[in-house]
Amino acid sequence: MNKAKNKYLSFFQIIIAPVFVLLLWLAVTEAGVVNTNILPSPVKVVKTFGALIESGKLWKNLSTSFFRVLKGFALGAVSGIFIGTAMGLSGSMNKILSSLVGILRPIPMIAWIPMLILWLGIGEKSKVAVIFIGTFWPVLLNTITGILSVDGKLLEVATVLEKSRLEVLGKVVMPSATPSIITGVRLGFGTAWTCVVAAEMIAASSGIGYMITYARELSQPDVVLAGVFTIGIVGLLIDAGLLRLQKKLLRWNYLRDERK
Amino acid sequence: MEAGNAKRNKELQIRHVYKSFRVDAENLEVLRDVNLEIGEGEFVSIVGFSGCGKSTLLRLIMGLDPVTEGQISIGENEVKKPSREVGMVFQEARLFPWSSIAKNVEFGISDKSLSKQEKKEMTRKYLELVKLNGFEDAFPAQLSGGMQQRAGIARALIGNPDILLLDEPFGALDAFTRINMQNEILDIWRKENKTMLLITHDIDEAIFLSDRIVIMSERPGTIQEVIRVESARPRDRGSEEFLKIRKHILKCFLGSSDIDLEYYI
Repeated sequence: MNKAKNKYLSFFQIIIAPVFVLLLWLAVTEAGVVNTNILPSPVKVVKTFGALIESGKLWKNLSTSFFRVLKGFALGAVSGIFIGTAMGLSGSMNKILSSLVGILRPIPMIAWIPMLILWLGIGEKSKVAVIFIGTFWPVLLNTITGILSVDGKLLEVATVLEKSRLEVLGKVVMPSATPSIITGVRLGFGTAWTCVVAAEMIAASSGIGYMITYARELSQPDVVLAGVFTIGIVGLLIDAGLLRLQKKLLRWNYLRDERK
Repeated sequence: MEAGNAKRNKELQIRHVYKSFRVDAENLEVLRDVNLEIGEGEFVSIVGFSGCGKSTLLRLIMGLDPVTEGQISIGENEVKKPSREVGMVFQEARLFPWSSIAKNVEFGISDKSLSKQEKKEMTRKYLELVKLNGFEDAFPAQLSGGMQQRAGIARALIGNPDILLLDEPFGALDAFTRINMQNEILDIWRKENKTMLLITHDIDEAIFLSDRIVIMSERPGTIQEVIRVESARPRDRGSEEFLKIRKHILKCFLGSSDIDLEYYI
């Protein structure tokens, strides 16, 4: 019974803040405190949202953005893990690349967009490239950290047992780095989703970011808000999905929490 | 004849071993002229203060670090790097938290010629030896400290080493579990017929288990004395001989003879 009670309590705690914001929003728009041409009421936004779904417009733009993200993310994650592993394993590789990483990494990905459009045009390639960069950094850094934080005592076990380098990599180093790598992948997907919208808002003819910019030009705040919240909800769902996957793949890493 | 040869070949010989480290451009002598011979199937313990170089000596025997001077050999072969002839049980169980207990134990098999089925069968056998059958699929974090250490012992034994080195393996366990594990290791020693070299700071543990006890003095570590324990196993921790040896060892460390014997019973 206590458990059920706790469950209700935790559900309440999770939804209380968003519900409060929603009610406040409803109150100020219904009471006429704010100009509804600037901030439409949530009811209007939900209606627009429904209409966008019905016309297929939302789905079309969302799927366009989503596939861009998938492409750029896959490229960024794979190369991040690959280069990160190399940098984590080899001290000289780390030295050679670390200054380059140091200079390039602090550049916000938005700053790359004009250059990438110049090089790759306004179409798919430039978007995918932006997402690639956004995904690459968090995956790279977390992979390096993961590889470097391997417990020396566990490596010694493998040395004592005369394991080959390949076996040490596959059975000790990589499993030990996996939680960190997966955290990097999760962060990378988050950035990728942010990047696609930013890239589409600057220059595009389709996608959820384009939909928002176009609606602003037409002065349709309800469409803008519907788009903005779609981004938020999709981002939340993706992260929740990845978190579940992480817990399933790395059950051993959560055993201590389970015990508590 | 052949058997005799094999026997001689597995003797651990430590001859005039010196070890020093360079710390801040200064030479730190850790071991000085250590000499020890351990016969096949013998159970020897090394006791000494922490920092007396006993763990360093174990690392040298394992081939993890090179000797500064002298020679360590197993039979005819000089130890230069880790080999399958020597197994090691560490103070912490050092299991891989991401692998099941069975997978952890199986990691101790280095023989690549074995089939999957054979490996599985061996793993089953050694899990049974350390009484962990039924915990094959558990993760290390789900097991108690003592059970984790059993898995560590199984992993060291499954590779079938001739010599098993134990570096304070029960140091982190509570007193009851420790006594339990001492009985278990004695049982394993009998069944498996391995040479065992145990490092410990628990004097009772050393007397309870060993054929010989090596007492090391500190800085630099040298062998101060070797004591032979003659009484038959299992040994009574309250017997007169046990207490006599215990008093003698304490005297070596504390340098005084007025220790109240009764107090320690």
